[in-house]
Amino acid sequence: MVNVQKTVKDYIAGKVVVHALRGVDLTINGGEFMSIAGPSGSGKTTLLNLIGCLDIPTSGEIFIDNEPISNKSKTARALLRRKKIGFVFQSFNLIPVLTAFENVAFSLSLLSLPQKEIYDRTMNILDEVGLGGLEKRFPKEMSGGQQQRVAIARALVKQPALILADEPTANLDSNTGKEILKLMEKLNKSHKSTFVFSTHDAMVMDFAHRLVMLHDGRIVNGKKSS
Amino acid sequence: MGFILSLSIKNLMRYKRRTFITAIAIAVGIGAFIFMDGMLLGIELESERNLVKFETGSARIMNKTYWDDHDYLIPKYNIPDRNTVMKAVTEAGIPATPRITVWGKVRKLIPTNYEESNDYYPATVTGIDQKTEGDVFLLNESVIINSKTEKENGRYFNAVEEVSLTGSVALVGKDLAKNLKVSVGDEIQVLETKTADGQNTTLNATIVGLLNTPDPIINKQMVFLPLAYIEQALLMKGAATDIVLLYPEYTDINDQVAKTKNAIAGVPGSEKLVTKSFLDIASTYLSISRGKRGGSAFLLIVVFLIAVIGVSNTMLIAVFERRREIAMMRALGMREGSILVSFILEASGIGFIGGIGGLIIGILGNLYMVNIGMDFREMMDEMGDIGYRSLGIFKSAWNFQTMITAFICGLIFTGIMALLPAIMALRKDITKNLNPK
Repeated sequence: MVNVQKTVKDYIAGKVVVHALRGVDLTINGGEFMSIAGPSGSGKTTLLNLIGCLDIPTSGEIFIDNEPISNKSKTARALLRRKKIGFVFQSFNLIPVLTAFENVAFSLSLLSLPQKEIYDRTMNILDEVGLGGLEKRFPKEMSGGQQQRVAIARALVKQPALILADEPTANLDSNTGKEILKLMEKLNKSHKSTFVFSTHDAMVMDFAHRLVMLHDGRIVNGKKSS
Repeated sequence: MGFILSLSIKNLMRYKRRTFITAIAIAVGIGAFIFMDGMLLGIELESERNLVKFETGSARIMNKTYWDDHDYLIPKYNIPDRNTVMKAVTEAGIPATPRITVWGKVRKLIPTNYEESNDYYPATVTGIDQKTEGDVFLLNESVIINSKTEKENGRYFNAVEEVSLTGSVALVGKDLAKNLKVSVGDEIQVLETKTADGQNTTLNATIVGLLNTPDPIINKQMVFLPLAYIEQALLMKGAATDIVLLYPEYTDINDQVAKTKNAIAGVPGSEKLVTKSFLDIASTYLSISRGKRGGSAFLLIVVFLIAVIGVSNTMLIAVFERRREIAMMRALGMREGSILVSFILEASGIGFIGGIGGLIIGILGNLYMVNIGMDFREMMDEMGDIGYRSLGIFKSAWNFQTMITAFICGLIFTGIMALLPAIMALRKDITKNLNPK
């Protein structure tokens, strides 16, 4: 599914070069439910951004479905994200002027699907994430947990092969965070989508079926759980 | 596209107060533009009407040399047989009147001892035919008769005025009379006028009326005498310097001039005559007048652009506030072009609301100005000539082309104003904007 090979990412901050990733090798298989963990500044978000084609590596290569992404144009990467990758953000990033339904349907509208299909798929996924009946609510009329469910529905509705979640529970209380993780786990099983999420929270790490630890831009160890 | 349009409208309503304030600025800009353009057009059209009805007529037939040297108004170069030309044009259905127009220096005569005044004022001295003058001009309606100052009240020329070599009667523009310190009943003398054979001569006349027209040139520098008197004094013997014509309104002036040329083609000596429309006669004034409108329009465009820059500022704030949203949409694979279009539509929406407001303001203002107008008579009396052939009540005219242009420009300019901030946002890395610090 995803193959990260000797990937280096450097940022220039003023006159200082920041080595965010220092030669990462990682393989993510289809259908995995895995977490990239590590302290702040360890390179979790950078790695997710690279896997999500939001950025390109300084050196090394990333393959998605055996296709290298480094030499792809901005437009080609946008097209890849539109079709194959779903995102869940720490701060939900919903569009405040759109209802829950419209926020989720936004993902599908980019795929130019018929209106009927957009409606059916959106209503189904909202039901699936437990938001049936709340489709007309605006983000400000929903709790943090409900907003994150909308974000998950938005990521999942286009049935992408890969869903990337950057600290999806960081803005939620622990109970709501657990509910969201359980939901993600359930959807991983039912949709067979690959879930990769970053965290530095031990509780979240426990949910992951596979854990990759990053420290100072390097993978320090990995473990598999049941 | 439907989604983008819907998103743009929703974003437009997201910050109602900000949208409303920016739209007001656009509305005021467009409204002022429409209002002022209507007013300037109204003054320009009124000036043209006054020019025709008081000063130039629609067109004039003249001796070619008289026209070529029209700055000097030399009576030697005339239409020798005015009656034949008059007959030809009136038979063609064109109202016409003959005139003898020359330059002169005017001064007041003190009747008790004929003491000469040294205050001279240059003037255009015109002999008018009482019988036909009213067919072309409106001077007969412009004689002051209801002034609070009794001495200003006078009369128009009678059908027959007593004419002798020692003098006649005169109508004088009210401002010229004021400068000369004369009024009805006073005597004036015109010096340095040329006769048809090029000699200097003097004309004497008693003022029987003062002219108060909407054309400041008439009021400021014109003296009218009976044609019979000036003909005799300048040895014109059946000649005239001009045959002035009046064409119907809203007809093509070039067609009418061609019709006139046809009408006089058979008149003996017609090859020495020219027919010039008021557009030629007053070409300098008209080009200055239209230039003024263009200059004023330029200033209004600047005001309008300042309002449009307000939209740019609003969009800059909107883009900055929504940079995370923009990054999210890009992350989900939305085309950058589509994001750009959504911001252009949003800004154009402000332009649309402002444009509608501007049309309402402009139309309401114009409605008042077209039907009622503004009375500037007192102010104009103080200021004098402001460069238009119009005094008193200013009325506007409808200019639907300007309204449509202003509205469309509002939409286009405001749309363009969204481009720069949106492009700036799209140039930023998605990753930086997803988690702005």
